[in-house]
Amino acid sequence: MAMIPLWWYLMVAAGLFTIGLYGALVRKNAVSVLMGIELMLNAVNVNAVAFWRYVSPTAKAAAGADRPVGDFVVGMDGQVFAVVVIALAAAEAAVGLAMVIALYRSRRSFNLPQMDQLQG
Amino acid sequence: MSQQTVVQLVFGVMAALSLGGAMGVVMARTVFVSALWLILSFVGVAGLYITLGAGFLAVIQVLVYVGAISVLILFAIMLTEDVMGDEHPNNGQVGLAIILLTPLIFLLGKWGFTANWPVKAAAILPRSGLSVDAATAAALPGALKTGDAFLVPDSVAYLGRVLMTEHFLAFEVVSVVLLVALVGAIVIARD
Repeated sequence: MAMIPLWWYLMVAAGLFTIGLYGALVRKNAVSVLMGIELMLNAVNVNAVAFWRYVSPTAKAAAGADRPVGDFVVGMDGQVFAVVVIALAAAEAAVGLAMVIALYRSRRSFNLPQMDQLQG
Repeated sequence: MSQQTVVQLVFGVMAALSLGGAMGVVMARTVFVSALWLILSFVGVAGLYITLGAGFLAVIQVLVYVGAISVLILFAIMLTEDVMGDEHPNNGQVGLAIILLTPLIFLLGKWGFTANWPVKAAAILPRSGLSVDAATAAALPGALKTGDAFLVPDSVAYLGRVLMTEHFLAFEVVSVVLLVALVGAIVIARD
């Protein structure tokens, strides 16, 4: 049977997500909040790949000219999901850090509690 | 040591790396040390991908997260002074966050452990091209039968083909998002 049960991966991902959410909730520093968000995205990716490996390959092969043929073929949906999430995380990090640098230039600080210009 | 023990040991090391790194991120006193812990956590997650048989994703994880995002974060920290140390890195919400997150991790763990996930063929997936033997078929009645052939397309070529056919829309949307993020980051950071 399974060398590693699926729920081991789910536990690790749950822990990563909770720790990342904790970091995003309690940190004062904007960069630390970004790091917490990256941790949460990583947890989502671990879950996606784990489900790709353990749950998705039950479909019978839709034999076609452009795809491998077998009785059971592993789809690639989970991996595509993870690749998309990684690309979006990179975009999010670039924009987030640009915003942090722009804010630092005007406020000389990263601290989120001081960024209250929108507060009435 | 049996092969199973070795695989489980590797999983344990990688899980400890990723979770320990994550704890370091939220516990470190300075942002710089947090970023270094974050790199360790990313390496651990890349190892988890390898144990899952997603080698390409592990490489991408190391390239994008360890190579690009971590360096970007380190740059952002080091380009700005005054963030190297803070007496109180947390805001006043630590107690509230723990009160909220304790039920969250309890529920996530309960669902992950007790939910009846339809794990079928993959947990015992043979290598590509192999067929199911009688013992394996008996272990999962109904899901498999003896002689079924497996094909695990763990190849970059297959992933690329799927990205260009089935998931073409996602591919295009991501490319537009990357372009917009690039332009937006330049516009925001330059003034």
